[in-house]
Amino acid sequence: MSTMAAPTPATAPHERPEVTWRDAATPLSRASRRRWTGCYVVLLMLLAAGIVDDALAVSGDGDGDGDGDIPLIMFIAVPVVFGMLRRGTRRITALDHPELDERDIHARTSAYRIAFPLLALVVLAGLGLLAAFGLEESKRSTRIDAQTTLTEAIFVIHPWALIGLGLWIALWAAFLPTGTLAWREPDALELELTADGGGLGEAIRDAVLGVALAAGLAISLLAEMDAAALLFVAALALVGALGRRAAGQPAMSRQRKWRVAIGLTLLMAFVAIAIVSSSGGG
Amino acid sequence: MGRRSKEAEKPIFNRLPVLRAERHLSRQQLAEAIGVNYQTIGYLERGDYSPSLDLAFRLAEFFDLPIEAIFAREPFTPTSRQTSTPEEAQ
Repeated sequence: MSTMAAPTPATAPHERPEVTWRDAATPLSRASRRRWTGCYVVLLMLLAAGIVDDALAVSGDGDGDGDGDIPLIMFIAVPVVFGMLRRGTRRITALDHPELDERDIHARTSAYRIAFPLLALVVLAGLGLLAAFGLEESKRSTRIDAQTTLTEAIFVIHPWALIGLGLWIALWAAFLPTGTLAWREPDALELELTADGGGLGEAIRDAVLGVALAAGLAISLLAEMDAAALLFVAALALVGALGRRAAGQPAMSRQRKWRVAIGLTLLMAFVAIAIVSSSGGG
Repeated sequence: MGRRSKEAEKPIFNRLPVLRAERHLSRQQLAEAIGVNYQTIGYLERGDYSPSLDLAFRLAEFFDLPIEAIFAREPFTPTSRQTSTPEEAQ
């Protein structure tokens, strides 16, 4: 009956792949992925707030006063968090058909099916935002006056608002299938989960990254300096360094420990110098 | 007759962990032999995913067993209870 004979017993254990800070930061449990899915939604909403505020331009108003500017940390955090979710779902929505098995294809199909009506809601919400906030910007232009109705004004909306809306919807379109997968996929298998060791647990890693992200955003918004983005990057590096231990890496040699320690020290010094110089200059 | 909701579907139990352990196979090795990702083997074992008929047949052919010896609607009797004599069971 059988056309496939059972292979001989395993003789050698599978080697663990090299673990980078990206692997260490990737959420493996469903609970963690759900937390970061929510975080990404908040980031996108903040991005929308930055876009509709003041000049309705992603790059801000360019006058250097910080009004309407979107902190640099947003442009770092959005791809980082999205990348974490993407890796956490093994990029099922990005892979070609031959690389997916039947379960992956089923998961991808249902993710797209769920994401589609959600995207329709986002588009409608985006149009509502454009109508509500874009009207003020449109009134500043000379083409319409205060008597223009909302329905009329939406047809003469500022081009930057349309570009901002398009970018915002594109971000949602890219995120929603992955976000749906990240929300629904079960916990990763034991082989993927970090072995018990001296490293940080996933909840602690999430907390470290979350606090760094929130602090960076708060500092950026209050102090109007982009050095706060470095705090977030430093937290990523720290989580990566500690995550390597949790991922079952062999103990580092003395030489390698020194290299890591020097690298971390330089990074922290760079952050400190950037903060001091920013606060002194501002 | 209407469709059953996802929650109303009866679970499908399997003996994949036992069969894999008997043959000293890792999930990765079984997955490569069957042609799926190793995560799928784990999700099958945990009951997070019910296989298609095609995948069930591939597993049955691989283990050289009938499908009902691998998958069932009711939980499988533990091997320890299967091998014990009636006197021991009492």
